[in-house]
Amino acid sequence: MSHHEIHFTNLIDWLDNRLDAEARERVEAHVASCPACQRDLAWLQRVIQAARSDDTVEPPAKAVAQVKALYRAKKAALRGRQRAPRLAFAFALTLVLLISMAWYLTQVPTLFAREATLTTVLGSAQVRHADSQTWQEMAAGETVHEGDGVRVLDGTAVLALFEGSLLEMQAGSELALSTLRSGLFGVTYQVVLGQTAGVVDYNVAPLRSALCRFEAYAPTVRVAVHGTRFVIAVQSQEQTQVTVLQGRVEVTNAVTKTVLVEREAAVVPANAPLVYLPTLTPLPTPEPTTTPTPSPAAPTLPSPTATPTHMPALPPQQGRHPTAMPPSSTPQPMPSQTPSPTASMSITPTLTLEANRVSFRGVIESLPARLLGAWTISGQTVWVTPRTQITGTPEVGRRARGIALAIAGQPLVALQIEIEELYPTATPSPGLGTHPTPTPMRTIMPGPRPSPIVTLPPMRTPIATLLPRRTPHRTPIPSSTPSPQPSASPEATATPPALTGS
Amino acid sequence: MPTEYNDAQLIVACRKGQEWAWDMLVERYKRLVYSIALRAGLDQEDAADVFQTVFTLLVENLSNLHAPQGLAAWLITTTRRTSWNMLRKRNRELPQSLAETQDADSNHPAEEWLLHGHPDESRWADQALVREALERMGGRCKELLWLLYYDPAEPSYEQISHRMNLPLGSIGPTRARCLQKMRQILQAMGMDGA
Repeated sequence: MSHHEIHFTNLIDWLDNRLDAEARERVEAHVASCPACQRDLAWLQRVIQAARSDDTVEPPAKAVAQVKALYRAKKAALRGRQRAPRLAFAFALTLVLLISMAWYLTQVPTLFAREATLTTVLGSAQVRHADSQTWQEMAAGETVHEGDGVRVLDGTAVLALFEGSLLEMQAGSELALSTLRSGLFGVTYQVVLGQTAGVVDYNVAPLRSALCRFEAYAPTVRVAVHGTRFVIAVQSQEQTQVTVLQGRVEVTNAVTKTVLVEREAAVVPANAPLVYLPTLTPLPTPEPTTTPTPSPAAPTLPSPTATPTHMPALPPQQGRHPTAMPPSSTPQPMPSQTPSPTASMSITPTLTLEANRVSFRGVIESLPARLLGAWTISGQTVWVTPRTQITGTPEVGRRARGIALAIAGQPLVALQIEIEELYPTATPSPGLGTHPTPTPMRTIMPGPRPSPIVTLPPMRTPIATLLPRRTPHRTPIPSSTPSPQPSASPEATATPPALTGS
Repeated sequence: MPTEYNDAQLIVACRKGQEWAWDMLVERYKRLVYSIALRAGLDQEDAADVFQTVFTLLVENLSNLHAPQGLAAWLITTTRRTSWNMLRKRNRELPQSLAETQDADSNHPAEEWLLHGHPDESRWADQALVREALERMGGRCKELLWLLYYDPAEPSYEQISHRMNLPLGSIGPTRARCLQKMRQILQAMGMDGA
């Protein structure tokens, strides 16, 4: 509204042609020199003209309602499209954060406390929980945790760690589970064990990453593992023997730090350099044998005299070396021989690091559905555990051979079983049986296999004998160190000398 | 919270899913769209189809309107093109027929303004806003301005005074106050120059 002598009303009257001539001239004269009045007049003209010329028509109410409903129908999709990028971004961001967090948690090897399971107990095993001072009897299937202690009073027990390692504890051994931890999903982990006594066979799963750690402490030595199998024998508080069967371990005592590789063994004193033992040499794969004469019902367990201190012993009396084969064994087809289910299983003491191991062979007479449990092999019960390494396809009627733990009063516990291939076997030949065989069982060697023959895979864990190094450059075994006694076993004298050249 | 919104504000509200904003847009421009279709020579049924088509396009392009303040112009252009397409669909001889179709108001051939625009388009947009402002005023202002400027009978001041039971001498000042009020409403609705 102008604040002159001409009011907004006068402008409207002028537009509506409701002024007399005098008033009309006065308004026009004023507007001509009043920009504000000109703007007011222009706006009034625009609005009044729009109103007076408005001939628009109201659309049908139905069409209007449909158009309004149209928006409601499109609303959800519209809002969805608007939200989609934000939701996608939020989802992606969350995903990245979760993945980053998960990756970080996988890289922290001590995040979660883990456990171990006693899978096999033959004899007596005990556990002392972290919050207790007393030892309690332990059965197979029980779990132990970080901080617990496990010992085996009699027989043997197998402890399966969360990351796949298997520890075979011998009678008199004791382990403290100092650290059993892993990161998320077990990608990284740390295992630290303290072995205070006895003999423990460590079958360590390969480390999954550089952040993983597996260490075993004995009174005089720390053994850092990189996926291997080794044996620690605590001989006293001043001396420990470490024997590496597979892989490599780092051995550290107060004065020395070195690496033992496969088939190396050393005695580790507390405050002195390591004393290397003669190199372990794998035995050749045993040849198939038959037992022409049934053996007594119960296997005769071997005497531990061969390895009284779990030291590697020399006399390899089981199996035969190729040089023990008849020299004139020419290949010739052998008549097929179906193994007799009634044939007795041959059980032979093995040359192993532990005295309570035997090799066996015979015909499978019965099998559990899932292979785990009691097998009957030529009338003998052989327990198969998750730790048992089985090669070949076990079937009733097929011949099997392997290595087992023999504990007095307990059935055999198979460590390894090989299912022999079906091929023509030897007819017992007097000539073959005449070679010097120190085993208590009479065995008959088959002749050469006719070609083609499927070769049996070698044992995964070779049975080892102790043989002198070709170039002994390390410290010889001191006389005080328990050492192999080749003459301690009569079978030792029968060891084919050709073994040393292998 | 204001009760009047300009087109840009309503478009933004529609994008956020505010149904009331969409309803307000439809109410504001429903006569504009429908009447352009009628001016193009379409019958009521086809004009209703055009009406629905135009608002369907609008709802589908709510997110793509780069200049929401030009909504009236967008609607006019879209309605012209939609009407043109409808005419071509209805009559294969549309160009010839349209040449003979005259817009009653502008005397422009429908074909010409449907394709290239109408000189009164800005006034059509004003009509939509002014009518909405009138509706928003309500009461005696709405009645008075309706009688003064919308009633086809064009009643005299005496008739208006009698119908509204308003002294004859009050009509002028009342009219001025109502127009000032409308001006404020139109300003809030974004009418340029108000």
